[in-house]
Amino acid sequence: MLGKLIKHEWKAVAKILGFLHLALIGMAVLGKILVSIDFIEELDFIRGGLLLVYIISVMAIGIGTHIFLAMRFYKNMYTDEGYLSFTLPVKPWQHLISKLLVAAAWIVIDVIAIVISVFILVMYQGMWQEMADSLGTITENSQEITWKPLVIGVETLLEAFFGMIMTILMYYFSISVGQLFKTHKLLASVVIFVVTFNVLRIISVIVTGIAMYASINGMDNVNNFYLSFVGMGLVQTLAFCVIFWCSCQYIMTKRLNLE
Amino acid sequence: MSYLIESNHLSKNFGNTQALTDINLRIERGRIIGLLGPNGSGKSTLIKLINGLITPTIGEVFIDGNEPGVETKKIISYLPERTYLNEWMRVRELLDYFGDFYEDFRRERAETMLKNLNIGLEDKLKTMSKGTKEKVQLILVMSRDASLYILDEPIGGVDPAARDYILKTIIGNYNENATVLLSTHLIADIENILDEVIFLQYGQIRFHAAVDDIRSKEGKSIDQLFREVYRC
Repeated sequence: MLGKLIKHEWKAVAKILGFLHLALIGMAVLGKILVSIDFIEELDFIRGGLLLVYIISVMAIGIGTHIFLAMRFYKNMYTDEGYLSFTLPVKPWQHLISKLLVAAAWIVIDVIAIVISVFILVMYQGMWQEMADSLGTITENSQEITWKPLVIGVETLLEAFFGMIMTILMYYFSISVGQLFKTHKLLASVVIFVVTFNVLRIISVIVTGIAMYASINGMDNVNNFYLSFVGMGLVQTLAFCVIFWCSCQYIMTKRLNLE
Repeated sequence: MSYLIESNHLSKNFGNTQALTDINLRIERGRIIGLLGPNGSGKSTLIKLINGLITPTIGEVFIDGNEPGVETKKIISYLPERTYLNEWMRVRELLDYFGDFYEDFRRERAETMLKNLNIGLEDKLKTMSKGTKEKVQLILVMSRDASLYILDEPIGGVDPAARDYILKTIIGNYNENATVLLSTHLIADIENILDEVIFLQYGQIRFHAAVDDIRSKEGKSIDQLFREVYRC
């Protein structure tokens, strides 16, 4: 059943998000072509204009993807469509995981598409050779450094990955808690999101403070500091993933109140 | 033998409002039951509790011996009083969807009914009229070989010709062991197909009886009785 849920979830969001991201790549290609054509010097402002349109579009698609995925969860679970979702013979956690995985996949696709489009725009002859050269220099130098950069790299990647999962779960959490309100459920969800977001930031600041304090007392270098800093961030992120997940699961199982 | 639906002291409050109070229900297999009552009497609340879309404040409900959950959802085919389908989907995609999630979905049956009503498989829900959407939804629900069909106001929004077709569909598509629980306030239209009626008022069961008993004992039609019970 989980596979089927993922399949249908993918189909439901891929149409619109696929189109948006293809449009983004298409725009980059078009932009590249326009920029490559030699304009008359006086028409340079057109390039500036194009760049501005591009930057705004990238931002809009990035933010739009997040809003679309959050709204998909809200609509499919807690509005009229919820009448079908919640009468399918599947468990609430299966709904949660299928939506989470598909949303995570699309956020990764979103980032990759933006990177590709930037590459297309800035591409020039000899770029790949230059990149390969500098990569070589880094590898040479890194032989002198210890294993720490690798650990830091892995830690940072893990932090980015679980940070993304936490963000999606925070949307689901806010929407689910919003459903406990009698009226203005969507507005309540937005308020809960803003509050949760700020609480998270405050906790982050406290965690950073502790990490800094620890680094003064005993940690000898920047690498160690970064390692413990990211490590603590990761623990915090994972803890919030668990809290958000369990809250959603609880509301969907025990406190469901479809109007 | 256990009952198909059994509820004990089932109650539901929304804030300070009591939507249902102390419902003790026993429903057997193979019956067509009318769940009757004016607007706000608790019909939809009871139906949603049986489907697990809301959770009871007090009491419990069992369907085929289980509390609402995966097992009960496998055997209940539910038609809500609203459109619960995703607007951008095509009819064919909806058939895929139902076929994927419900083992008892009979695709051929659905395709035949859709053909009879001239609804194309490639038609998009978005372009359909409200009445056509309701028909598509009813066809999907009645194309399952479920043990319990729960139909919330299935004939409310459609014209009389479609109403006849829908009632024919309901009677023609359920097997002998299945029970149909049908909520409506249009009693005269469905009176002839019912085995039992449950009258709800102010969130309580006013009475629950076999239609034949009412006719023979009271000498009244259900419609007459309804008008008497709920006289304003």
